[in-house]
Amino acid sequence: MRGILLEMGFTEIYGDIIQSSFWNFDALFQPQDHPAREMQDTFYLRDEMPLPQGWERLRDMHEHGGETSSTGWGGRWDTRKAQQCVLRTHTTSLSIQHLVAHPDPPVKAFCIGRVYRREEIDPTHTPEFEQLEGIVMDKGVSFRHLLGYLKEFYGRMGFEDVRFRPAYFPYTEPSVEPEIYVDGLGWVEMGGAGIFREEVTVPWNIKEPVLAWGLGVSRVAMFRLGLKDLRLLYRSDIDWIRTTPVLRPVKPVQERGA
Amino acid sequence: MAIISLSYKYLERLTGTDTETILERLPMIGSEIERMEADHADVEFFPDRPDLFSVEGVARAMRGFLGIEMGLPRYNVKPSGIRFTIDPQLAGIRPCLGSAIIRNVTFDDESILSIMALQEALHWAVGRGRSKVAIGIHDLDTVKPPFHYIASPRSRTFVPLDFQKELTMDEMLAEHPKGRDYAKIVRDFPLFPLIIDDEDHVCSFPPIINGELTRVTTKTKNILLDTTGTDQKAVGIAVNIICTAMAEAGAAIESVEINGEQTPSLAPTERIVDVAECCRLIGVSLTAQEMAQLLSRMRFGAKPAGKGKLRVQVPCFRADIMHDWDIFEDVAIAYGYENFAAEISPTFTIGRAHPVMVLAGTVRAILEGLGYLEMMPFTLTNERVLSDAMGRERSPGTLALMHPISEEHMVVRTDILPLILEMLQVNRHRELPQRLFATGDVITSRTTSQRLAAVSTHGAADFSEVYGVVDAVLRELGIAYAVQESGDPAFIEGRRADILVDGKVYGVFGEIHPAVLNAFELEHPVAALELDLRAVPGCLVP
Repeated sequence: MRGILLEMGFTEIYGDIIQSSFWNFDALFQPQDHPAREMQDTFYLRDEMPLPQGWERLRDMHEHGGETSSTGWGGRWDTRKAQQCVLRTHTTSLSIQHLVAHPDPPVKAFCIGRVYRREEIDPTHTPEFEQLEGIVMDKGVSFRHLLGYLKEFYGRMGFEDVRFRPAYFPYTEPSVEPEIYVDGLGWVEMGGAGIFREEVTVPWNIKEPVLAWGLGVSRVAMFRLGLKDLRLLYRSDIDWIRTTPVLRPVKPVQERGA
Repeated sequence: MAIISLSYKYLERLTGTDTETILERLPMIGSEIERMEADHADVEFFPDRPDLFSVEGVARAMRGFLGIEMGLPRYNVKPSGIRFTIDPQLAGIRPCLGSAIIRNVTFDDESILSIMALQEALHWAVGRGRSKVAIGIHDLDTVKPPFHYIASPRSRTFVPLDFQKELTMDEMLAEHPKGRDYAKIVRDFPLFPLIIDDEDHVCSFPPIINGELTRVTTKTKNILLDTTGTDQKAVGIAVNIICTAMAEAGAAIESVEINGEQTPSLAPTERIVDVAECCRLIGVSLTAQEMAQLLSRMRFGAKPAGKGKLRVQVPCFRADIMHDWDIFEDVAIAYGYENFAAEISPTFTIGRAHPVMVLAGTVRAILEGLGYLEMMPFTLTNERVLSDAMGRERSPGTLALMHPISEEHMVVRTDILPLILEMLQVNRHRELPQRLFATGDVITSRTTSQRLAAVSTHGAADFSEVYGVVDAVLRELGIAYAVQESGDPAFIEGRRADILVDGKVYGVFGEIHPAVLNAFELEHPVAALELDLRAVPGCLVP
């Protein structure tokens, strides 16, 4: 996947596992009373980080929508809540910071990294897993292009049939859920995507639309390796590694006429 | 997630078409069909669309989407002449109130189930587990208006729903199942919220439990709705969603006077949006007329307003329309996600790998070349593995989670070697030799850096073997290094060495101490190395 995105002209992002709630939640327009922010879903640390410059614009966005057509969430935005440190729950916290550092178009960037959710371990859930995320910010890009990037990306991974369904994510509008066709399984959900809301981009003077998509890398590994239990990826049985082919070739891109 | 059960019979009656047509198109307005049973389907809707949490709401949306009935649904609201007072003492407790009278209800089992499920889903999605909003539904004909929302002493008694005897409100928190579930919302208040009628009969103790007196049954004809909470906007939306759903089922809605105001009005709000902005965002070219047509499919009212603008009437039940783009998404949904000409943008950019990842790739290539298998252990671990089992001191810089999910995952790793030894433990019955490595992030205090750890286990694993590996790795990484006797207690004295770069210790290698082998239940010798990758020349130091 990393190779595909580098080939498609994306710059790789890498960043800290520990993030302030500000970058992990608030900057992505997650309301401060959103259930995902609760202690039972997110790993908090007994540590705080100072707010970055320009945080007041984000507070305004949450409270009344700032200078956009948004109403905001209403209520009071609490600086203390934004300062709490968490183990990042998605790599989107890095994407937004990359955009803040590079507000001029074009930006095409991606990140593959460990993310954390406070979930009990079972065959399909682990408290940490790998996530991939891509963003494209440029003049004139639209929802139609986002669907184009998704088709191209999944096609290069060997998933030729992709279809799209409406979805909901707090920081994107419009939002979309791609589904890919997997032999033997049928249509399966594969991550989420959308265009960053103005409430996310305007506080940082990002003027062009930001297309964004993400997916669970471990989930792809499950399909590609025929894995039934995610735990095997992180607590591996050596016999399984020794006998599982990982580098099964995908048809080269040229042959598909791309 | 809100999973709503849609009865085929009821859904067909309200939508005016067959179930097959509805279910085929339903995912394309934003939902996921979880399972289909003989008489109903369980469908998941997104938390931003609480107006779809009932059969009535889904039917309303699908009539538009399928072109059966488009445009803004209109709801008539007559004043009921009933008043609701609010006790000022509730200001710091639970200040917000919404209400309505719902008449001519014909409750059959399907509509009761739908409304009860809607109430529960709203408690979750809008009410944040009843703390922000709680909803009560009462048989209006059992009580006498006007109604009073008061702050009551906690010792007040009444018969709660599903009970035969009177309890004090304090007792309900301990003895009633709903009391136990929601006690934490009110426990610390000196006075409790209470809704009574004009003759001091209790309707409900929000957000905990209704009184038995006003229980709704299939014989109920008229309803009193109470909605209380801490956020007036959220309370209002909950009232609108319930009232419009009941109106869809054939009931008449009447307003109530609260603080001198008639509520609810169920009137739409208005937004003037820009057609060109919408076209740019979704990437489709539309005229104002075409955009208005698409919005009417999504049950908005929309008329061209000149100068490339559209006057949009947003139905009162749409909780999610905060920004113009929320309306544009509905345009895209009505246009049909399957109808977009998907295409990547022509922007030319050059891909660039991140230096940290490039280095990780180099390290992988070297270790794989030396015959080592890569492992991907968790980054969350515990002090027993990280320090105690290694015979090392616990480090004050280890980051502990505030609410760990298990004893296994309490802290963020400061080191990778202990986790690789754990892998050997998992694989102790597998064939030897085993040579494993892992590379990745570790965190000390708040600083993230990268490390490499590798182990080799078999009957003859020794210092010389791992020294050879260390030498190969450091040579390939271009690191000039020296070694010196190490004092690391995880290794055997005399068979351990520190890796020095520019006079500073960046790593250690040697034969693992028998006590450590014991702690990890390993029976064969293990030779191991660990290296801080900040030793690599030109490595980015945070």
